[in-house]
Amino acid sequence: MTPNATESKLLPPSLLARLERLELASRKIFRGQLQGERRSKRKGQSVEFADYRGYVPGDDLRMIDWNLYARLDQLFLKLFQEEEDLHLHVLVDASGSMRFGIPTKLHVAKQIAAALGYVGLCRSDRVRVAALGRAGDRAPVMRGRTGLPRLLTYLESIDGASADQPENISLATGVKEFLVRGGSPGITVLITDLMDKSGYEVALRSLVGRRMDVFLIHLMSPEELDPPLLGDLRLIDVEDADATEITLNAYALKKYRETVRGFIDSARGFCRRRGITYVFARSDTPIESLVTDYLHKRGVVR
Amino acid sequence: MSFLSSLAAWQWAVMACVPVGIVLLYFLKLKRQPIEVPSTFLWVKTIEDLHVNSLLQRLRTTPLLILQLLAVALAALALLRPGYRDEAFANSRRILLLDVSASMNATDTASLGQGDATRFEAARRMIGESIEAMTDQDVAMLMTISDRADVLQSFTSDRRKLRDALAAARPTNRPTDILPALRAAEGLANRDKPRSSGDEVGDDDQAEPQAAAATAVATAEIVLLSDGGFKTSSEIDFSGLNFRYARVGGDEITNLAIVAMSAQRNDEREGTVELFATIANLGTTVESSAVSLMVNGELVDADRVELQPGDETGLSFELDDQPILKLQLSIDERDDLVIDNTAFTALAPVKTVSVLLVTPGNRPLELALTTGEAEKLAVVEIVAPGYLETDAYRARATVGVDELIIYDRCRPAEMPLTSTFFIGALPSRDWSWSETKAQVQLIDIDRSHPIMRYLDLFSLLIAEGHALVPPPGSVDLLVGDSGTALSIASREGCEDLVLGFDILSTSEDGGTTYNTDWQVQRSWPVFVLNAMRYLTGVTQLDTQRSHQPGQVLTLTTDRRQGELSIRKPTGEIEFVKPDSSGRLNYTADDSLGVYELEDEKRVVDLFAVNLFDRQESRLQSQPTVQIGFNQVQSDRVAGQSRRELWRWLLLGVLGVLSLEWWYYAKRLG
Repeated sequence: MTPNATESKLLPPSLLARLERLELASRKIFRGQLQGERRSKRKGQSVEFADYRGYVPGDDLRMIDWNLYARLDQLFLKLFQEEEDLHLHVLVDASGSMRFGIPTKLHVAKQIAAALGYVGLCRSDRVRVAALGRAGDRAPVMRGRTGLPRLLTYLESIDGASADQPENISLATGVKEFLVRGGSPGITVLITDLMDKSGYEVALRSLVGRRMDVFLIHLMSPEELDPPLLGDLRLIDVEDADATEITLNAYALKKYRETVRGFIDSARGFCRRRGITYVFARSDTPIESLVTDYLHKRGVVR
Repeated sequence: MSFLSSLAAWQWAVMACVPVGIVLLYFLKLKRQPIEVPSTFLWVKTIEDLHVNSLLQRLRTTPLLILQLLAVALAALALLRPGYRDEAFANSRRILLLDVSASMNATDTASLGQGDATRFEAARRMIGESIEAMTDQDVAMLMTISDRADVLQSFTSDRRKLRDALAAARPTNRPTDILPALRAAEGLANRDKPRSSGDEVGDDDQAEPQAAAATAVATAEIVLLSDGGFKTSSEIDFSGLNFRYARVGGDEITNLAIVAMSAQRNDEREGTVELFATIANLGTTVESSAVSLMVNGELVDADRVELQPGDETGLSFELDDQPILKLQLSIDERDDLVIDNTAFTALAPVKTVSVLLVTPGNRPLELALTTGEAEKLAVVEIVAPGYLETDAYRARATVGVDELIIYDRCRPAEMPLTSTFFIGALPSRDWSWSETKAQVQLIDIDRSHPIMRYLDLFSLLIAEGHALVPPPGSVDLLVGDSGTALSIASREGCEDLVLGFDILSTSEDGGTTYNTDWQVQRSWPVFVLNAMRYLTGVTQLDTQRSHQPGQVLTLTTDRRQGELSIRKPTGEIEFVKPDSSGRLNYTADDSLGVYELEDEKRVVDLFAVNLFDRQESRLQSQPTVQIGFNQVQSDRVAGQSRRELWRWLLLGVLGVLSLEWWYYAKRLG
C-alpha cells in the first residue's frame, strides 16, 4: 500500500484490502510469458476442461469439439483452464458521453479500472490500463503491487487537462488503436457506455477475434436510464453537437425507456453469442459494492 | 339534439382554417429548450418509433394549444346553434298554422333585433326552429292562413319535407279568415281512433305510415303563428282544440292606410270624375304625410293629412274625364305596412247596354225604361210576346245579344243566355209559385241588395199575387204575408229576377187593370233603374268596385267566344275565356293595382285590386286571440319549443380562453 493509493479518490483504502483477496476470472487458455500464480490447462498438456460455448465465425477452428459436432450436429468450442500469468487489459472509454452523470460515468469507469487493475497487480498479472484514444499511447504496463501508484496516476491524468476537450473517437477506432499498439491475448475489460452512433459491434468483434477473454462493463448513468426531462426540447449531442428536436411527454419517455431496455438487451445478446461477459452497471452504484459484490456475482472476479 | 347552421358553406370553410392556422402557428413558433445529452443515439431511435404518430404526441403535451383548439371547437359548435326540444312543449303531433295574410307583411319586426325583415319572416323563422326541434317520432303538418287555408305539408315526420314546404310559403296581400283553417285543423287534430296515414285529410304521403299511425291517437297541438289580426266567430266551439298562439309583431305601430277609395263619373257635371278616399291612422303615433294622386301614371294632385291615432279623414278630388282612367292614390310617408299606402281604381269606357222588353203592353214599365237616366244607360227594344216564337228572337236569345230581357206576363220556351226579369210569370225552370193569387201585404225588404237601394215600399198596395217558391240559393228581396214576392237567383252566370205580382193585369174580357199602385210611386222608376243597372252589370262599370286580393269576381264582356286577355299590374298577361253569355269569373291574384281586360289589345274593362281592410291595416299585434269560446293568451315559446345551447357554449369559450390565459401567464411566470 502506498501513500498515493490511500490518497487517491479512485480507490478508497478500505477497498484495497478487499481487492487483494480477489482474482480475475478467465475461461480461456492463454500462453503467458512468465509462470504466473494462476492455473492454466492446455489441451494435450494437463488439460482441465473448463466449459463449452457455441461457435461463432472468427473462432479458432482447432478449438471446436468435433465429437460433439458429430453427435449433435452443432459447433461448440471447448474451453480450458491454464495456470499461467495473465495479460490484463482494462480499456476505459473516455469519450464525451462518459462525462455525464453524478458521479460521472468516466469517474466510475476509472474506479472500476483501478480496482480491477489492482486485483491483477496483486496476482502478479501483466496489467495494462488504458483509455481509448490518444491517452492510450502513454498507458503504462505494470506487474506487481508496486505498479499501483503509476496506475492511479495514469487514470487520474485521463481526467486531467484533456477533460474539457474529450477525444471523441469511435469505440471501434479506439479498440483498433489499442490492438495495433500490441493487444496481446489475455483478459480485456472494456468499460464503456456503448454510446456510439457507428455501433459497438465492430469493436467487440475485433477484440474477440484476437482470442481475448473479453469482459464488457456497460456503464450507464441514472439520467440516461430515466431522464428527468419533459417538454419541447432540442437535444444536443455533446460528442458531435448533433441536435435532435423532440417533445417529451410521458408517452415519449416510455418509448425512450423501451428503447434503452432494447439497447441493453441487444448488447447483452450480442455479447452472449460471442462469449463476451456482459456486465451492466449503473454509475450511481458505490464502487465498493460494485467491485466486491456486483462484479463478483457476475463472474468478473472471484 | 338538433343543429341550425348559422354560416354558409364558404364561411364554414374559413372557420375550418382557424384551427389549422393555430396548429401551424404553434409549430412554427415553437421554442425548444436546448439540453445537452451524452448522446442522441438512443433518442434518435426513440423518435423513429414515435415518428408515425409524432404530431399526436406533440399535441399531448401542449395544454395551451389544446385549450385554444377547444375554444375554437366550442365557438364552431355555438355557430352550429345546437338546441334540443323542450319537453314542456313536446307534443308529438303538431299542426303549424302560419299566418300569411297582408298584415304579416308589416316591417315592425325589423326593429326587434331578430334580423327578421317582416312579421312573416319572424313567424317563418320560429316555425323553422320548431321543425328543427322535432324528433324522429314527432309528426307535424304545415298550413298557411289568409282568406283561405292551404295545406303546404300534410302530417309527416320528415323534417326535410317540412323545411321545403316552409321555404315555399310566401306572404300574401289577402285578408285573414281563420275559420276555414280552424275547421280543417279541428278535423285533423282530434282523432279518437287510430287510422292509417292514408285516411288523413290532405295526406298524400304514404311514406310514414308507422309514424303517423303511432301518433294518430294523440290529439294534435295546433300552433298558430300570427299577429292576431283577425276576427273569429265565438259561435263555434273550438274548446276541444289544444291550441297555442305565438304572437308575432309588436305594439308600437306606425301605419297610415287608405281604407276606401272610389271614383265615379259626375252625373251633374259632364266630363268630370269625382274621387273619394278615406285615410285612417291605424297606428299608435300621430302621423302626417303628403298624399299624391296619379292619373294614368302622372301626378295630377296632392294633399296633406295629419291624423291622431285612430282618426280618419276623407279626401276628395275632381278630375277631368278620360275614356280610360287609371287612378292611383299614394301616401308618401313610409310606415310599417306598405301595401295599404297605395290604392288603385279605374274607370272603364262608358258603354250602353241593350235591353229587350217582351210585353203585351205595359205603359208604366215602358215609361220607367225610357227616363233620362235609363236612356243614358241602355237602348230598350220593346216587342210583343209573339216575338218569342220567331227565329230572330231565338237567335238573339241563344247568342245572348241583350244584356237583359224583361218578360212581362209571358215566358220563353227556353231560358236565354242573358239575365232576365220576369213580371207576373215564372222562368221556365226551377221556379214555382202558389196556385192561387192572394192579396199581398209586404212585410220585409232586403235593403242591402243593390236592386232594393233607395226604395220605400211599405206603403205599396198590391191587389193580388202569387207567393214565389224560388230555387235554392236565391235571395228574397221582397217578402209578403203570403210568401216571397220578389226574388233573385243565379243561373249559369246570369241572374233571374222574378216579381210574383203583375203591374198590369189582363182581365178576362181582354182589358187591362192596374194590379198595384207601384207605378205611380216614386220608387217605381228607381226600382226599374236599379234592376236594369244591376242585371246588366252597369253598376260595376260606372262606379268601379274594388276587389280584394284572392276575391272571385264576375266580368261581363261583349265577346261570347274566343279569348280575352287580362293585363295584370305586374305587366303579366293572362288569357281568359268568357262563357257564351260573355261572362267570366276571374280570381284576382295577389298583385295590387289595376287589371285591364283587353280584347285584341283594346281595353274593354278595368278593375282594381286593393287591400281596403281595416282589420289587416290595424297592425297592433294582439296579446290574445278569440278561438271559439276561449281567449287564447299569446305564448311566445309556443313557436319556439327549441332550447338553444349556444349561449352556454359561448360562456364555455370564454371560460376556456380565461383558463388558457391563466395557464399562459403561469408558464411565463
